[in-house]
Amino acid sequence: MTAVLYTGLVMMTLAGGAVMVRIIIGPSESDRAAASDMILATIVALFVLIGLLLEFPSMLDLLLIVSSAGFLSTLALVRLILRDEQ
Amino acid sequence: MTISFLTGFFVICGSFVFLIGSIGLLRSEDIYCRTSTIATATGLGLGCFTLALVFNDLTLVNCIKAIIAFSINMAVSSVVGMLVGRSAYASDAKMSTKTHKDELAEHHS
Repeated sequence: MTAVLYTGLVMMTLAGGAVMVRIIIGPSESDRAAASDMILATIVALFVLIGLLLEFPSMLDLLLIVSSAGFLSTLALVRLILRDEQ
Repeated sequence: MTISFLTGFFVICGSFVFLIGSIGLLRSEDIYCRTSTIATATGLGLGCFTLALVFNDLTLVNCIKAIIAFSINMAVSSVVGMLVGRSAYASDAKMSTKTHKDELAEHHS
């Protein structure tokens, strides 16, 4: 079980690295907004994995809060891009 | 033992979805493909991690929380994908050269 969790951690870290590359190279602001949404989900998944590894309780509550409120940052970025265009 | 196996299975599934999604994010040619990749990867990936957490501690309260989290997550990831695509279209993001038809531009003209 622990080996599986460590494998998941390595895979998620690689995924996070690839998303960071996309944030750095862009090229447009919308690309970065999309990649920031992805990196939020990646970091939450890493938290869940660490929570499973260290046997933290109530990781499901964290997932519930992030999935219901986490999209607000992307929404704000999208509004900003649309307002700049208008 | 079964519950532990299911947790591991969903952890590997979720990590794999995220890894494939991030590779797709790097390899996609335009923002519209990237939003599609992101909507799928975040919705399905976090859904898999929700299932892994439920099977780690299988109680009724956790099942209810997981159903709420799963449905909100699925709705939010697709809505965010559409919003980012819309903002990209409004800011005249370049389309891939493989795109043959732009029905939205034809509709507005």
